[in-house]
Amino acid sequence: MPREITLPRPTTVVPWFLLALVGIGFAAFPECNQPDCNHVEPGLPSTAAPPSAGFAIAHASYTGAISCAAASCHGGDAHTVGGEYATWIANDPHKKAYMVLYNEVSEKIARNLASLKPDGKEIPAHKDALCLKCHSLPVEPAFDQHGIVRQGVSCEGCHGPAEHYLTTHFQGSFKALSVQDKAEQYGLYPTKDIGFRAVMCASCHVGDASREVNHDLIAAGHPRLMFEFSAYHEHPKYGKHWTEKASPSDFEVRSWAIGQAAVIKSSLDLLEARLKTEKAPWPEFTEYSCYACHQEIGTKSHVWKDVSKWEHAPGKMAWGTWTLPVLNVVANEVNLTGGAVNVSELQKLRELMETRPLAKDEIKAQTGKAKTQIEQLLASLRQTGGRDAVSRPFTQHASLFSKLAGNGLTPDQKQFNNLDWDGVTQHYLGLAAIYRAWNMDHPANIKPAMEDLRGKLYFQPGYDSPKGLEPKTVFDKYKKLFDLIPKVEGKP
Amino acid sequence: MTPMIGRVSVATIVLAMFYWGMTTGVTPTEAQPKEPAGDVHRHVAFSAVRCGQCHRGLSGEKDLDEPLIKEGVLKFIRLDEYRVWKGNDIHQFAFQNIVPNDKRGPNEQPNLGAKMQEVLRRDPLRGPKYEVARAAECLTCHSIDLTYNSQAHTAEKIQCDLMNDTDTSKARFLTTNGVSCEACHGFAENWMTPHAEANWRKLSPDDKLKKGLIDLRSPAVRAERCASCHVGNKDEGKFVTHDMYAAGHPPLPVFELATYSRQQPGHYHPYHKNEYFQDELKKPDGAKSVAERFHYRQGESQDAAFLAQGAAASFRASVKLLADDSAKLKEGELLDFSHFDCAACHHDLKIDSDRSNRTGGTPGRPLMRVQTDLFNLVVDSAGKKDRKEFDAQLQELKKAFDAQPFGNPKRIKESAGTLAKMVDPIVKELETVKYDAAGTRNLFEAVKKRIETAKNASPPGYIDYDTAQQLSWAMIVLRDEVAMLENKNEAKTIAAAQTKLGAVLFPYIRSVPFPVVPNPFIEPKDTKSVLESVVDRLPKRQEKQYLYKASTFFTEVGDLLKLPAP
Repeated sequence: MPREITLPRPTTVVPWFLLALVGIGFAAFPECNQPDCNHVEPGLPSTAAPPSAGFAIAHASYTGAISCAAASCHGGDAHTVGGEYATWIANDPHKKAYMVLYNEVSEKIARNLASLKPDGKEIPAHKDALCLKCHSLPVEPAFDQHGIVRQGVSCEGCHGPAEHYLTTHFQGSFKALSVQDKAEQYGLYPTKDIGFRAVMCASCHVGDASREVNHDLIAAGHPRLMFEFSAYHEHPKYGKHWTEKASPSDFEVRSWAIGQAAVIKSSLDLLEARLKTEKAPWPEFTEYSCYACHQEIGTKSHVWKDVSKWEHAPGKMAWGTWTLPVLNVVANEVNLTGGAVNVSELQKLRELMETRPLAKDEIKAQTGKAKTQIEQLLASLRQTGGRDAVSRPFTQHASLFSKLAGNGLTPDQKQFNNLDWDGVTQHYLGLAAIYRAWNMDHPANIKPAMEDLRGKLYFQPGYDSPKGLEPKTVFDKYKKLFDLIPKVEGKP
Repeated sequence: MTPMIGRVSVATIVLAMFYWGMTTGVTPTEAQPKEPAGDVHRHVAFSAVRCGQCHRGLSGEKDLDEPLIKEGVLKFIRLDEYRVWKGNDIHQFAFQNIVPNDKRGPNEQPNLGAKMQEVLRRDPLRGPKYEVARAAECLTCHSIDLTYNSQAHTAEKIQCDLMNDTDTSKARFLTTNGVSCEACHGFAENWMTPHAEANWRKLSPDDKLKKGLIDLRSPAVRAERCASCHVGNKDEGKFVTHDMYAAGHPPLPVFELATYSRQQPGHYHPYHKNEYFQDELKKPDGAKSVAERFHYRQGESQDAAFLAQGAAASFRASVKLLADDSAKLKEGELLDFSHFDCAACHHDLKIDSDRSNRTGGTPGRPLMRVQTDLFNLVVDSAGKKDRKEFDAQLQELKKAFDAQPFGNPKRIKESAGTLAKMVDPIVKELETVKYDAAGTRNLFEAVKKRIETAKNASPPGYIDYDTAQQLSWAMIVLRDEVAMLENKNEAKTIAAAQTKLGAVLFPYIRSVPFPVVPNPFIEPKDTKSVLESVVDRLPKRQEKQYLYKASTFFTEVGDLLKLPAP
């Protein structure tokens, strides 16, 4: 398995880290036929290394969060510079990633998954590689003398294995290195690059070639993954241990747009990996809308078709309801580098996935085409992202807000435009991101209207689906919000 | 044959033809289409009105002087069949209810036909001009298919799918009166005259069939006919697909023939109350003769036989539908979702759901909709068939469904096809099983044991909604039949148990219950409640389905399980 990749210069259209992701490929997906495929040498990361580790140095080992936690380093008071470790301990859900593998839900999942194992034997979640891939760092338990696995998704999960930068990264000479050199030579990931960060987060929160939450796992009890990059940053339970370098007016829009593209890119990687192996269940239901099927039909619980144009054929599974609803706005309207990006292959892929889900070869070919387009989009969005963004701040918030809100409605504004709960929620989250960025001159009554809409989208207690939600009310709230927006002509 | 009967019949027919022409407002050409070009034969169908001229019931004391009545025809048939049907039987609305109308739904909203049409027009294969009231896929169950049983009949061969307003000679479907007499009894063109003659009753079912009269007194034949619509039959183009469901077609409930027969107003004497049979039985060789001609054996339960053959027919129809449908799949297509347990996907995602207690199969793989439990119990309790091969094939079918999400179409096709063929000899064997008091008790005990085994297992087993529905309907019928055969009165106990079950299931096909006694005839005083349509009671049915919990079923079914000693 090739691990060392020649890195193209950042100006190249295809971002280098993307190539790296493809390069480390399918190590953990069961394609490897070599007998020693899973052999792990002491001190080395396992083959289940996260994609973010792939592009960096070939062999670096994890040192554990404690290595970062010295009082004079990152172990200061929480929510202060120098207190990153304490912030993570106190306010970061990643801290609990491993601990949750002991709770009742995890026990039930392990019990239910036993029937999927060839020998029918139950593996506790905290020992199951399937779970540990995302719920901790990729350190083989046998070689985990420092208890790194038990720390959940700790510092090095996102910043890279610290073996080679632990003792140097605070020195002036290190700080003078380029982002690329830090990564290439020392294994420190460029997390300040929004594009990199988005794909890295998505590698667990969406899945990638080596990790996934598929329908078997969800049926066993795992929650559905619904990743929206900008909203996750804003989540009230998530205590950031850093400050974004870009201004909010710029960061929020970029992180939303880049996050959308990164989520689609990761889901296509995942789709491609699923198509490659005979062992993966197919058709894979998590590719499709959850609530198109999972609703108590006849009870009018959440029948979105009453308030939305619905382009999917009657009675067929709907594909891309979470990933695609705002793609057109991202591709055509965000326009960070000039010019819209063609994403028509995604639409063709959707038609294929919905009408002939078993035509795997055709889907595989079409996924490749769609991926090329989405990678172009991501590259285009990224080109001025990251640190460069500061020099070209995004300013057209009112126009983008209006365009996105309008995208959710049919031209006559009497219905949603092909949306179910997923699509409406994606529109809400995008509008919320733009709203956060648009902090100076927005109309005052927009905030209550948005809160009103948000309140109607929450799931009821005891349910993991929009049971009991009233699509008509949601539509009315959405329309009310739309009508409040000052109409702005021209592209952002 | 007496001359009187002959005269009455001919006179009635002439009158009937005149009356029918007057009242229905359809042109005679619609009912008597010309022989079309090609090899498709279109039958002549009379619609129900013509039958109603004789089968309309007595209108007063003076009718008792009619020669037919004096001959004792009422011992054999009721002669009010048309009136019972017209007053109580919802089959008559089968067509009327699907004709799109923007005002005839609840609260003057569009009816289901209009809604379905709107949705189905969005399907690229059906297109924007699609009309439910003209589509063969709808009319094949919602009206009379005039090409039924013609040699050329397959869904594919017939080109003229639609009703043709301008040229009725090409009409394939007779829509007047929906699913009327001939839809079940067969086209009367060749038996209309002879069936009123005295010696007709002496003929064998085979001889009658040669004239076109379908032998509905045979439990196996009846079960097969009912199941063709109520489960499906691809050869006749009868198949409720998932896109029809998605467009709004009410889900077909699990099929149980005896319960379905009881919940429609019976327009025939139950066999054990048929005085003509009783008279015949007193004659030498009478038992043999009645059994051969009418499938009735003294001391046996008609409804238990219906139940047994219904379970077989339901199983066969569903596996055959699976086999036929999967054979037509194009590369890359999934098996139609209607073949899967609806609730497998269609449930909201409750946290701590009862469904995760379900065993059998991989989590997250939709199970097949084919109901196996009742059929298995029927075959087991009959105790005749060596089941090894059948069981192995059934396991293979389950594995094929479990092999991948939405099943492996190729394996399903082969396995389902083999199973469908395996049912044929079992049906023959079941015809020889005696459902006397002991046989009926035996079957009751088998169903009871199935429920109790699941209930008492540790942890408790899971019985899904459809199976619970089918098994409890079966228990009600069987318990009632045991009481009838043993001369006990259990009506109150059963009604109470039924009410209790209502907490978790739909205890009746109709929400307005018919009495448990077979052959109920209710004068249609309150037409609305008696003729409550499928659509009216759908929300109630679906609510039960979503609130269903196996544990509640185990509690509520308790009273029904306590069959008193013989």
